Amino acid sequence: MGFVRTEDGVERVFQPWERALLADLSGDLADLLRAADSVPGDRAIARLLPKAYPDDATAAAEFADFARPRLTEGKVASAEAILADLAAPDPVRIPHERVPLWLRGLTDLRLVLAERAAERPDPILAEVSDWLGWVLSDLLETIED
Amino acid sequence: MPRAATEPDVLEATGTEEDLRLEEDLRLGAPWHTVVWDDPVNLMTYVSWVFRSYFGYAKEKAERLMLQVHTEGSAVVATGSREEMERHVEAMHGYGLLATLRPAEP
Repeated sequence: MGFVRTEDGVERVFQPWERALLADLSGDLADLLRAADSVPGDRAIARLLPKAYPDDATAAAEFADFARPRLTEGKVASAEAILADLAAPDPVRIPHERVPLWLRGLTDLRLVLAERAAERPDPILAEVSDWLGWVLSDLLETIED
Repeated sequence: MPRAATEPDVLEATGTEEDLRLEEDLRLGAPWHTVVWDDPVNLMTYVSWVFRSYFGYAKEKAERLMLQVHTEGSAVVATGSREEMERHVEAMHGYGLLATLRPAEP
């Protein structure tokens, strides 16, 4: 039902609703990240791009200047990797080298949902969060030596 | 470690935040720490995986650091130059972890 190891990575059969949900979420995440600069107060973005220096605003700003574009690009890449892999028919195959992209992408999705839920509690968000946690957990277990 | 002979004492006299950081950087080898902080979302198994995957730590060390983050609220996961620590902090943010850097205790 979940991920299984293959010769060169992992694979998983996604139910149509799982595929649609994960594709929607990943697409939304990529869009949010690309628009990050135009939503300055967004707490999901703030959580994805936290402060490196808690007590030094100048150093924190300098760090953000050089790190933020790279981090944003990396997170868009993870979200898009999930989207791209989901475009294939079942079973979705994820080669070893792409597994980290899934792990990071799923994590970023969980972080965003947690921030959204904190703003406005929603039982559906909670269910989706749980499901993402389960998928992430399953993937981690599957790649375990 | 002795300070460079030409280092001006005006650095201590002015004492602004920026000057203090400059002074820290001038002290050769002044170590900094990368600190990872606990958060309510990330899975313990994920945090361990990050420490193994990025730092190359053995399973036992990765687990120990993860548990320290989890039970104590934070853990020092690396020590080195400020530049190195900034790279590690950025990497941790890339993995969705909360991380900061600070000067190591003298």
